[in-house]
Amino acid sequence: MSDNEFKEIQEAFINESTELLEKMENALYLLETDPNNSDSINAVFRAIHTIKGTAGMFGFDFIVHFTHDIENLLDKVRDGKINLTKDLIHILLEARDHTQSLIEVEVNGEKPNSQVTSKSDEILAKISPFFSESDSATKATSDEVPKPITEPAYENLATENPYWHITLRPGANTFQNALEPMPFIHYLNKFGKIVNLVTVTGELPNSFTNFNPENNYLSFEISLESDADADSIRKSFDFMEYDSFIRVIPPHGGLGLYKELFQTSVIDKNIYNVIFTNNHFLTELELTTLLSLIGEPVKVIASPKEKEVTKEPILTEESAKVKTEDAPPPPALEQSTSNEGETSQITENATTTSISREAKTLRVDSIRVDQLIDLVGELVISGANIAQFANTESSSSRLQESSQILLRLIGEIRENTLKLRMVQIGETLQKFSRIVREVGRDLGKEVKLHISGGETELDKTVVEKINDPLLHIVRNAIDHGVETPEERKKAGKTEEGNLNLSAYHDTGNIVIKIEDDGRGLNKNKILEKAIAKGILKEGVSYTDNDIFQTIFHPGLSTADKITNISGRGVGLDVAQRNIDALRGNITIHSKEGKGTTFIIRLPLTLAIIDGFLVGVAKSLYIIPLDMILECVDMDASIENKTINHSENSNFINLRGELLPILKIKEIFNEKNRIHGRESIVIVQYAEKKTGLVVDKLYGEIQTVIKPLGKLFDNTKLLSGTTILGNGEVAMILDVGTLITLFSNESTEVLEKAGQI
Amino acid sequence: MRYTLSTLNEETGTTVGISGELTIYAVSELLNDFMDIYTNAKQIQLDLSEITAIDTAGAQFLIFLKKIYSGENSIKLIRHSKPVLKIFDLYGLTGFFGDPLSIKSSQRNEFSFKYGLKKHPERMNVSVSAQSAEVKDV
Repeated sequence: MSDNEFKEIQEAFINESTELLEKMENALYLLETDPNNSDSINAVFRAIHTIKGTAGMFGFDFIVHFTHDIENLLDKVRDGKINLTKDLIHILLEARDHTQSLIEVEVNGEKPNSQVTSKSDEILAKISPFFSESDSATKATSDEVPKPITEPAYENLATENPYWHITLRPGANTFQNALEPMPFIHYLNKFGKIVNLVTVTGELPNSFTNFNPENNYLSFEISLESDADADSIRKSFDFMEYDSFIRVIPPHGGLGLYKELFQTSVIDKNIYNVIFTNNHFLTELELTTLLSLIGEPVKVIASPKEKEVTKEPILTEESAKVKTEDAPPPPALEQSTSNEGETSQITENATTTSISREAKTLRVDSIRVDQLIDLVGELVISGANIAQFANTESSSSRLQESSQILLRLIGEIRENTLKLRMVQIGETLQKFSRIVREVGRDLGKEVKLHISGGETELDKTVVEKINDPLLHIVRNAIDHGVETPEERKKAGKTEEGNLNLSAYHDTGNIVIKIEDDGRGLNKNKILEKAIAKGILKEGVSYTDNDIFQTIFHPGLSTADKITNISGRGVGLDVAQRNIDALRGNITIHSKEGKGTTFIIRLPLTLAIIDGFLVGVAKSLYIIPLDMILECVDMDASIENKTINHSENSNFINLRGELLPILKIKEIFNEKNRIHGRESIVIVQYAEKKTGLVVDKLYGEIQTVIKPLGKLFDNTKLLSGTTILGNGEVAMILDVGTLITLFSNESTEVLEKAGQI
Repeated sequence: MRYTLSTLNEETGTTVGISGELTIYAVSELLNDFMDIYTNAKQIQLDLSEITAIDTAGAQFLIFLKKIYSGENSIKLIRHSKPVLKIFDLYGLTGFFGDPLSIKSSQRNEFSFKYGLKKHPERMNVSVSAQSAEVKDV
């Protein structure tokens, strides 16, 4: 196996284990409230069992050793011999973590250091009392660590072959070395019965010139029915060992054991495959699996002729008569036919189960998905291009129709492609049950976590990146937000604090709420600190949100004490930076004594957006369509509804609602005003409505976000660019930043004008 | 000389008889002999009744002949002697050759003929006179 292949398999192992351990963790939490839930107990057991098995194949002995005892413990739990107490669940959680670190260590090819091994011992020591509780005699079994198996999991699949399979490929010089295979094969009858033997002749040349009759070209595939052990069978070929290829595979031996036979076979693969199916060494399903494992795209078809021959008795009628009279009928014949019926039935079952399993999930390298999304991006652009040509007046209606259909299909492809990356946020949120529990315990607080909206989907890359910010915010909430049980009692609350984690979709964004019912933020204290640090100015009146936002500033911590959980004033700063990087934002609502809510808003995806193309002077801008509420005519607004609108004013009255407006032209310093009517695009972001004044409206467009280069790192107002179908470049407006940066100004004006 | 060759040209074709030991010690010379036979006779019957001993190299030689005489040419193995039957039985070669075998009833239980009777996959594309092998007790 090449290094690369090995690496791939190892990676698969890590992924699989991580997934299993996550499942185990979730199951353990469920067991906390429902200790008799057998599904959950099984899930925990399966996780450890599978990891142990796979680790064994890689020879990761430390993992095997550790998980073996845990598995034994779980086995007892499963049998109801040990009660699943809270303490035990806690130990199992520890064991789960430790397994994870063992995997990391061993996969990297390192030996666990003394710290790690002592942790193993510590955990194993903790579980040993549970064994004695159940039954002291069973402890003995946990001492025998199973021999590491030497082939990867998927190859470990037991084959249906009920016989020993022996492959004997005598070396070319066998005859010249005065070795004769016949007696060795004969000798096998000592161990049992040769049920089948195929002489493989494929290597034999079929011309006089290439044939050296003194060389051996033959090899043998043998089925042996025997109770003997592998060693003694193997030993019977000792004399031939020297330059022969000999493999002895036990009955129902793992499919992986056959792999080598196929990889080393030099005869025509098709023939070799047919030999294996026709002689029932392997079933067709097994063979197909095997070939796909070794990347051999050969289709296995036993020729129909061959099958006919198989069905009818091979001995001629005449001889069959004789056979019944004086010799016992060869049992193999009946057996082989009855076997065939059985085998095909099993094959069918196996196929259906494997299909249903495959249908569930498919592991794909994320790079492939990224490439696909890139390509779809290009497709969207050229689709838009075609649509532009097709929609000119001169083009035929049939062309227009086709381009419409094409556009619709591209839209569907785009949507489905993006969905490939979508994962449910539930798993990420579930992880917090553990953190909440542990942080709460460390701080002497009782916190109950409520999770909702776990089925909300968002881009995998986004999910990966929000973990850290969420962690900081959750920790912060428990440390600073939730009070100790005594304090809560005094305040007339339940002793147990509540933390709500919820997720939902909102105008093209995903919103994640972290809500606690703790003491809330102390506005005055924060203001004091913020002024002391020079973040805010004294004497200016700030909105609640302005003040609360300062807690994201590095170095500002309202905690009086620094704990190792939070209070250094670093966590929230990191959280905000991460969220910013994802084009998201955080807002805070808080009521003193009642609790605090952090609201994180993130774009659903990072790759393609539905945009609305507008023109300002000679430039083109794209506003994310999800954020647009409506478009209105500026002049009409002036005539009918706008109040107080002049060149210098920044708001309009839309159907009685006062909205700040931003003139894109001014913000980007566009000079060449196109004369004509201006329009206002009403956008909403984070519950704030704002009007954007533009010169021209072009309409909806699907766009692929091309990131701006490093040079534009400081350009906050643009989230990217895109290339239109006609080759022109359009800027994608970062509406969120735009509103946040400029709305303060507007609000101030509004406040001055006495409108708010 | 461990073996002797005899050829007999009849109306039905050429019959070649090998007698003696068909073993590793003979195969090299036999190959030379058969090069001549091959050029002269395209349809032959190979009489194996006088073979007193055969080893794997000998069996391999027969397999080689069967492979060589393919297509237009044909070879039919006849009157297998007991040692030949023994090795065919052990190596499951009956199906490969596809030629009918005759076994004396008295010797029937010395052979198993449990496997290798089906047409061999390596010879699926080769047309052989007998569609499937027969084991005939006589």
